[in-house]
Amino acid sequence: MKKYTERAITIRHPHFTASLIPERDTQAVFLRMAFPAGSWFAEAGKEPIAGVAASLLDEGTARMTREVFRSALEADGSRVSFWNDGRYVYVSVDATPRGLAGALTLVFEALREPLIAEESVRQIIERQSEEYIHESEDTATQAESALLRSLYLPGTPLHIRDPLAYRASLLTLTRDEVKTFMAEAYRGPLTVSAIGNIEAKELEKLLSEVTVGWNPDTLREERQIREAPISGLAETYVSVPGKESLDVFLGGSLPLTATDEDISAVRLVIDLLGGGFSDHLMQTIRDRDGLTYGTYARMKCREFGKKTYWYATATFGNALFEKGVSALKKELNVFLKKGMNGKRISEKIQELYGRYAVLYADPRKAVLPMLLGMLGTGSAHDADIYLERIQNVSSAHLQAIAEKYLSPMALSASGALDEKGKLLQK
Amino acid sequence: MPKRAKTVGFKKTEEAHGVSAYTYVKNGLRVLILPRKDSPVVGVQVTYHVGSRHEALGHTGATHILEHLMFKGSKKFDPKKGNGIWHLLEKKGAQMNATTWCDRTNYYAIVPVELFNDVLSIESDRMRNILLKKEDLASEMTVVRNEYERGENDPYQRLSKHAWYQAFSLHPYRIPTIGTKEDIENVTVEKLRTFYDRFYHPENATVTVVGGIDEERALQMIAKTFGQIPKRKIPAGLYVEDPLQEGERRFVLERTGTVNAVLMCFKAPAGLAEDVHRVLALEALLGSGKSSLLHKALVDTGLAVDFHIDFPRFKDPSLIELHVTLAGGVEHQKVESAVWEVFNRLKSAGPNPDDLKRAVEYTSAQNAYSLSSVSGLLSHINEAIARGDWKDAFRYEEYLRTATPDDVRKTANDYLTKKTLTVGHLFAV
Repeated sequence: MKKYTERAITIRHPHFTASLIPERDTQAVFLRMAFPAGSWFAEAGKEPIAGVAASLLDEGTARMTREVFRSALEADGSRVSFWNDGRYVYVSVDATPRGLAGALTLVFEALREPLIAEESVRQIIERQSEEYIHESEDTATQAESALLRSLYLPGTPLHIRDPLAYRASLLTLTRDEVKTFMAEAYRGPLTVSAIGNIEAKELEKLLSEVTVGWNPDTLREERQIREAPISGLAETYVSVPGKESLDVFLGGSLPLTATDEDISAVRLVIDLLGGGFSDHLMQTIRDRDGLTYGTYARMKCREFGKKTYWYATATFGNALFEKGVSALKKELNVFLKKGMNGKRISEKIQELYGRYAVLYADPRKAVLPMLLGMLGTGSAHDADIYLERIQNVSSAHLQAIAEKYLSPMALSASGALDEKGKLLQK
Repeated sequence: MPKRAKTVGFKKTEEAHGVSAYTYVKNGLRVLILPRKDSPVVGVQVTYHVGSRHEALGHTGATHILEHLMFKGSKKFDPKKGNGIWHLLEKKGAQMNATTWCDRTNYYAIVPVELFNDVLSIESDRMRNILLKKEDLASEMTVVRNEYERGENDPYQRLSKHAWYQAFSLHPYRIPTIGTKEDIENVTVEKLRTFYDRFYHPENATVTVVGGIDEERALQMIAKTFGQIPKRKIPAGLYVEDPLQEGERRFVLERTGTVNAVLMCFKAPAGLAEDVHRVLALEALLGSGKSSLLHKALVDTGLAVDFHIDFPRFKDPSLIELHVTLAGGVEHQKVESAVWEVFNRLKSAGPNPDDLKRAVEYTSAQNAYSLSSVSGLLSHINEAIARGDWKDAFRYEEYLRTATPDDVRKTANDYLTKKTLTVGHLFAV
């Protein structure tokens, strides 16, 4: 059986766990890193603090102004970015082999001693406030958030509020609150994935040096996921006037973590439903019926190591909205009842082998999925483990898995419609 | 001495940057091969010299719809018979798709090397044998219309579309590649067939192969597949030139939504113009990275939430586009003035050499990162083919490094002028 991650070398250190695939043909090192200090560690109602904190990381350090910090990175050709997504803060570093040490030194200087200037905090809040306003007209964001509001209780981390509600919370934040949050949350286990032109010993030495003083224990309490009680299909519509296309989500919570036994089978079912163009949703709703430009199914948040959710989604022009929603519901139903057959399963397994071959030939694309796999399962070999587990899966087993886990609990849509789901007149 | 098998039927035309360029003599097909010995994958791309520039009113968007229909089946590869293109390639793991833009249409697949022959068989068959059925157009028309509608949802796409309408008077670059909604809804199979028959021929195409295939095997297979297609003369190139712009053009777009933005577009040279290296250095200095001049002047000062500057290097003269998303409560005019302050300082004093050096280092490194993958290489080569010289895919860093501070100052004076400016203000209502 072909393995894609067997070249991954895992380095365990009290401050970090890193996995590296050395690629000598690439004149770069692509590194991604995460630590648990995202919005799940912020109090309910103060979630935007995590985004402000992550944005402060490229605003300079205690000994460097913003300008000096950024110029130092860019003059070496290094591209560094920081972001918060749910449970984690992520750091992305693309650097030349020569520039990597300098880039990581600066990154950790920012993590340890960020410059939390009043002016920077104010500017970030203003900028993010505007971004929340813009997000409120993004129909895909609105529809997915509405789905999650149906599935999870308010105040819990997967209950995603309306962007304008987040904006209101953001505007109440102070510099001192942000400073306290960073002092308490910016610690905990570091997980690092890297692919590129560097030896494992060199990466280990470098990470050991730059992480000196990093505290690997978390301090802040994490908010816990709690599902909302749902009976029947909960429907939520978010009105965004003036749009010509709508986004629709249909999904449910998934009582499995990335390490549960059934997770590989669920992942395969989701892949068969809406992984790509050859899968059920695209073949029917798009290719056969012409109702949509794009329709997919996804299982989210695998990386969180928590029980999360799945969905099927599609985009429809206003004129085809009602027809489209019916088709999405119908095709999900058809698939869950008779979408799994031996031929299709073996084709999908063959496809996955090819897909991983292509993915792992592109270091820049592969490095983030590798990190997400590590976060969810603790292993850099997530892709190979998945392939191994689905080798002998039967259609009957997948059928049972689909019936057990993938009955839709909620439907949401966003676009030029009212709160009852009726299209607005132009 | 007998000719080596690989050269039979091919004429080697050039060799540079590790790429060997050939022409298949019988039918004029151009071939580029960049072997990467140890790569487990291979990328195959067919670039056709046909884009939305070849359309006329009444069938705008036709190139793009045709691109969609190219996946609906060909003589040998018919989804109705269970061996469609997606079925054969995606089901084996291919990363594949196609894109259409102003000067070109490309079809690509990155696959495990063992699928190399399959990709060539498919691409050669659909070069001349697509099915192009009425019922396929009927179902795909609504797919493309939804793609159009999604674009209309996006405030930035709307603004950009209007700017190109205004900036060009005659050149077809003024019409967006997606076309108009009416043309998308009304295009006929007959019209698409005519379009296909005009442009989908070996002499109008370049096949690019990048990855774990040796040159000899690649050429043999290309000869076996594409080599069977007869030569056919392709129509002469487009010669339209947009009339000289002789003054600033302005427009206002009021749109239901939340985004307030300014778009400033300056007439820019053709992608292979002599002074293009200077324009690229100017673009890098202005907008590449968070230390760039515009980031400091617009984002760090709190005037803008975000901005980006783009110079799509087309075959014919195009535009330098500067998009700025305004921060809350900031007036459009204030942002424009801040931009002009940066431009005017650059035009009079030239750039600080350290700023230019940083911009060059940073942008060159980003370019090198994107060339580190098969997909990045295919994409760079594709755009370079479209503007007229595949070797241009590898010249970016050289271009940047040859530009001096004085070059950049002169370029700012040449191109950042009100005379060739088109400005759009997007107001959220």
